[in-house]
Amino acid sequence: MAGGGFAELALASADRLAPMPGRASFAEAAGLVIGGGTAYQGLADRGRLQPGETVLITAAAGGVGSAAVQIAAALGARPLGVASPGNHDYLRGLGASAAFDYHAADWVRQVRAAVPAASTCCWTAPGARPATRPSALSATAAG
Amino acid sequence: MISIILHGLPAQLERGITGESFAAHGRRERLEALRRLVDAGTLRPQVEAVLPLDQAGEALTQVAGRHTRGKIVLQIGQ
Repeated sequence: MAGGGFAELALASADRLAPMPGRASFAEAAGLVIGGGTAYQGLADRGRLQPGETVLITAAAGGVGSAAVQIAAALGARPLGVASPGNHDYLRGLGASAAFDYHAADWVRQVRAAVPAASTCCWTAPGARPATRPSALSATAAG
Repeated sequence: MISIILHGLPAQLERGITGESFAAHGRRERLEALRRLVDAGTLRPQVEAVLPLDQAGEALTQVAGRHTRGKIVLQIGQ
């Protein structure tokens, strides 16, 4: 939809529409399109994440990140979340195998220690602090 | 490395790491995949708050603080 999304009636291409999940409220479905859609496109379509692979997710408690953690787990992968410590239990509840604190100077070393082969895929969500991105890269293995 | 951040990806990725940055694009197949995950109970949409549109400024301030869990949804009308 190029514009006019606030209108009562709007014209949209049929290949951009799908029925709402039966289990989601309108508010949940509204949040799902951007957060879940972006995470699914990145992990499944672009990243071609495979069962058993490990994926490091920055800003993991945010709108895209919280969907990315759950989608990675649903795909059979092993999501590692990067977030503030207050969100670590929350991330484990979403399915994260482990959580890391980007405030810690050595969080990259902690990731490497937890995953000997390092992660095979890294997802940087938009909410991450810019300084986190190069660090996330250095925690990522080739491939 | 997969990212939707078009700017700020390191110009040169190291150690043979491949990188891709993309713009999110809604497609029916993807929306249907999400619907299946939600209806199966494996994906629970995370909404921290639902605010009326006239509190959009407050919503943006919360998001800018980088401590929002999931999305803040703005409601238009009732």
